[in-house]
Amino acid sequence: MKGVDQLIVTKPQTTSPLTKVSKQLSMVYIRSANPMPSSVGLSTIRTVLDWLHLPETNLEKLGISLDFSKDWVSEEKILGLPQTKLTRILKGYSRFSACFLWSTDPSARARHITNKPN
Amino acid sequence: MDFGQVETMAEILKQDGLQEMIWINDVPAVYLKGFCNLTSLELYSLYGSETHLTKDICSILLDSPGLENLGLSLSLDLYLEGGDGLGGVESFFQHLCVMYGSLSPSPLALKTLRLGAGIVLWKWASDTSDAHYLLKMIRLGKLEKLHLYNNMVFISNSNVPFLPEIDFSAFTFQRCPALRQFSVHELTPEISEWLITVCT
Repeated sequence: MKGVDQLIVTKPQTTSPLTKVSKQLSMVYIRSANPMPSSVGLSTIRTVLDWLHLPETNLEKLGISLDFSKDWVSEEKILGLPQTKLTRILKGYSRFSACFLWSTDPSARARHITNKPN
Repeated sequence: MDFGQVETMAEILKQDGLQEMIWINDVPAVYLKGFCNLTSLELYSLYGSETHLTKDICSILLDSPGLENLGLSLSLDLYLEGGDGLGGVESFFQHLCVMYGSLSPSPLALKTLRLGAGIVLWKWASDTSDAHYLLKMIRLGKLEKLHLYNNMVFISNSNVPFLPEIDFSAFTFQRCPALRQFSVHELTPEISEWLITVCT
């Protein structure tokens, strides 16, 4: 028996560490993370990535989709700084074979990236 | 489409031997009778009489023994009418499981189960892990994907808002040997604890 190895979560919590299951996971998808500081944000993503302990993980796919649905988030912020910051964070982690980022807004997604750090 | 057109379309689909049905928004109880031999049934934002919904969906499930994929959610209006998870509309899924179990000895061997808004796996005091209501309707041995939506606040009978606690006791590692994918809105400490038990 193999067990759960794919985890999809919209709102990870820093109080719920994934460290005990990280080696089992081959796919993690953090859905609708919000790049704005007040929401489930980059610091939470960073924490989750720390839990996953990427240098030793068996993770094959890491997905993070950003929630750009809020009207007050300007396009500049969507495609500019937060994106750049997130990419920089991801580039700090090595040795995972695939990473994808996309927006939940289809029009932004079309112009977006499939981002492969390293 | 008006109601008449939807009714006509539903009748055509039934006669055409439809196998997979996904109805994403605002599913009324009135058109749910008569579908059979489905392999996939996804009905989201259900509204109307809970009694009718339970009866009609149970009837489809009984007539679809080869069903592999089931997804259900209630409309916000419907589940907010509920109480504390002990008998009202908020217990829709429990009622459905119990009704199915009373009419068929063969639980459905689902591969995917999606429990959306308003569908809570409440803990019922009378249930034990071995006699869980879920097991009356679903055989978990082939379940590969489990999706739960847990971003719901309910109002108790004494008007106090609360977050329902999900009862995972049916989903043991031994009972779900094929389970690979788990999806949830909020990763609470309780869910993290359960996750450890189903990840080897």
